[in-house]
Amino acid sequence: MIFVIGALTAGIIVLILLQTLAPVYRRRLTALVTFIVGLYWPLEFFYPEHNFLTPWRDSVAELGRILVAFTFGLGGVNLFLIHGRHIIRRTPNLLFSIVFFLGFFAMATAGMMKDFGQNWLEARPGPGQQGFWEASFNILFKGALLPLASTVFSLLAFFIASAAFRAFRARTLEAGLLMATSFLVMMANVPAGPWLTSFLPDEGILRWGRWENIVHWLMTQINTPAMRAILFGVWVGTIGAALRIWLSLERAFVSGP
Amino acid sequence: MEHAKLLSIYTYLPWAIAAIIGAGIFMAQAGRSLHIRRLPAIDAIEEAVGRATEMGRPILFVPGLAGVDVPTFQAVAIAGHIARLAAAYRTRVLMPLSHPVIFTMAEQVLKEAYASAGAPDVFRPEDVRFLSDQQFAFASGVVGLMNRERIATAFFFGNFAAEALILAETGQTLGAIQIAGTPSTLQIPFFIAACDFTVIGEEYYAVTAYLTREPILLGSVWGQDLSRISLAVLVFVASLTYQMMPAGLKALFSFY
Amino acid sequence: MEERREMWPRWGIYLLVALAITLPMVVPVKLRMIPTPPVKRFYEMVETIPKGKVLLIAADFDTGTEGENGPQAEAVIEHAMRRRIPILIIGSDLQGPELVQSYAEALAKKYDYRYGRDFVNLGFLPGGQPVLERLGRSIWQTKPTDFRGTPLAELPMMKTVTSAQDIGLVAEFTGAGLLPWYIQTFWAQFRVPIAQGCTGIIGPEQFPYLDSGQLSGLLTGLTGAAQYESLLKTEKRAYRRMIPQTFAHLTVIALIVAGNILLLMRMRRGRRVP
Repeated sequence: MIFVIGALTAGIIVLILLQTLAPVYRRRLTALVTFIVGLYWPLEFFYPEHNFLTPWRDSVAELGRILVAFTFGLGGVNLFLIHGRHIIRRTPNLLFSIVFFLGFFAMATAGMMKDFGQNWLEARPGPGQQGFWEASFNILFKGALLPLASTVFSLLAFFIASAAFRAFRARTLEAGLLMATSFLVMMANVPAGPWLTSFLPDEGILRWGRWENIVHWLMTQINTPAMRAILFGVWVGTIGAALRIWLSLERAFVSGP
Repeated sequence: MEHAKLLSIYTYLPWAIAAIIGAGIFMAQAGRSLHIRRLPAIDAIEEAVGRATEMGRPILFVPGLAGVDVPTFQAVAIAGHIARLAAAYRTRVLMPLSHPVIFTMAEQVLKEAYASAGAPDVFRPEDVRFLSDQQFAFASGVVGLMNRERIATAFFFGNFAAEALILAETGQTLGAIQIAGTPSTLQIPFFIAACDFTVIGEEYYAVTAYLTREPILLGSVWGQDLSRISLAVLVFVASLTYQMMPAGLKALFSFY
Repeated sequence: MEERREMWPRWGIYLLVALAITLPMVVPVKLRMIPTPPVKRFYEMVETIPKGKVLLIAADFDTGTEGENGPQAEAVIEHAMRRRIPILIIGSDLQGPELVQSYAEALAKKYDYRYGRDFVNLGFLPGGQPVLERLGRSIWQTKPTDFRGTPLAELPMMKTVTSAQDIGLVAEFTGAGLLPWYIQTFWAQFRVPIAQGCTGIIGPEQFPYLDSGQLSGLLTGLTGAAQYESLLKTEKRAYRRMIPQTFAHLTVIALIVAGNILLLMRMRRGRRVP
């Protein structure tokens, strides 16, 4: 209880400060809060073994989750404003907005009623039976959302084919090498490749002529070092970017009008 | 490994890297001129913004699918710089988002970018929009937006997954100039196949430094490059030493 | 007009891919699967789980990648059941444990496996890596009930399964890059070997772990599952799904060849290459 009141008071004070301060100080306050909050996780993790910060871990994670929950509300408000405007102004995209509102309310109602209003407006379902709201939710979620998502996902098969047709052209030596490698790997991913060299023995020096072994060599000796190199580069870059954001050096976040 | 261990090198490595990057920033602030190489993809950004202006069509910027993480923050920073460029030409930037936290941040960043470039009237609040946090619902939403608004230029910066190719191929069909950058190694091939320019791996984190040429950012990129060279030397020397160790000593080091 | 001329190869390609996927579902085709080294290593790992230890199935996937991860998990479960190894199911995704439960139940009759005695499902474990670490230290404290809310004390199998020491192999099935969680907990902290079934797309990112020995076996995509089935000498879902996939792959290869022939012809005619 003390924590809740304390957090609320601190939040209100910070909000009042942010509203009343001059832009320069407001920016400094934001930078200070970013710095303090950003300090917690690295200190907690990199200070060896369990330390004085460890007991607070769950509370800090909880705080983050609560903040995210608030912004979900903002996301919803944004969707309502955009689609509401389309309907009021009767723009050419009116139909999409109507579909949005129908989908939004149907899903929200079914989802909430399934958990909180099972016995409202319906008889209690018998054992092994689905209630009205649970069935509605299942129809919307399993019957509509999941197949729709799978449909968009499977579009990839077509897009990959057209992208491969356009992009895999042996214009230079490097592109030619890349194409040859991709041919080997793709053939190993279907039974055709290994089948072509299945007459070779599984033991001795000749086994390195087998398709699956060539591709395994390519994946572990060529692909792996390249992957590692890129990942090393990326992670050092991540530390650099994290430092810039943490110390508020990235101008996009701190500049004012 | 729940926590860093006292006797492990990993505990100290991040701090060492942070110190090198910090030194780069400090040197740049002190006025040392630091050289970093050119990237064609970043040189093409201004051209791509210009093309959208010529055609009178909007620009699309997708900051990936992830939520609150470093790559997405970096993407929003890049969006801010691109919006500043676009504002100078009075061109709209559409920014669909899949995470509500990033939505609130991006809206603020874009609004300020337009205001600071002297074109606050070009910014429309509905251009920054939260679509869905579901991967493929988001993807189909963006595809719809791309088709309806007939975008001329598309930027894909951030963490992407399977939706990367769906978005980039749609842009290709529309004939848009497309520039992508992602630290997700698995999506790089798809972007290379479908986009005009792709920023790979660590280059992703150098984009804002290239765009603004600000000493602080250049210093951090220089520090990162130095860290990478040091890491490569460390890995090489450690592997070589380990290979040459007698078997008894090797067993002692086998875990780390 | 120009736009239409540019569109026709695209629609032609789409039509070809659609035919390559649908036709093999109707016309019967026979395939011969040859297992690759990472698949054989996965098989060996399941084959050598010591008696008295359990197989931990981490179902970190949902219906989106069920097409690839589902048959992988199913094949590995069947292998464990043939060896009468007890199975413990967890998942960092809401739908994963439910899906794996359905595979286990479908196979249970054939191999006389009973829920509670031979396999237990702990369900969805939210909280990421820290929760896995806690699970390794104490399963009972981290998840005192199974996915239906039954206390672990009422499940006979769980009497001897209390921590990572009782797990012989962790088999993770996923379409996301969650492997480091398991490596940092089960492999590094508790010294339990890990094998993974991943989607085809994330395969290349897993090979560094295989090469370093942190991963003891790898099934990549549907091919991995079909190869595992061939080691088990069965032809089930993975094999059936493999047929359309094979033809789709061959179509893409043919398209790449066609694209290059087109390029060569244009270069011969001295035209500008797009």
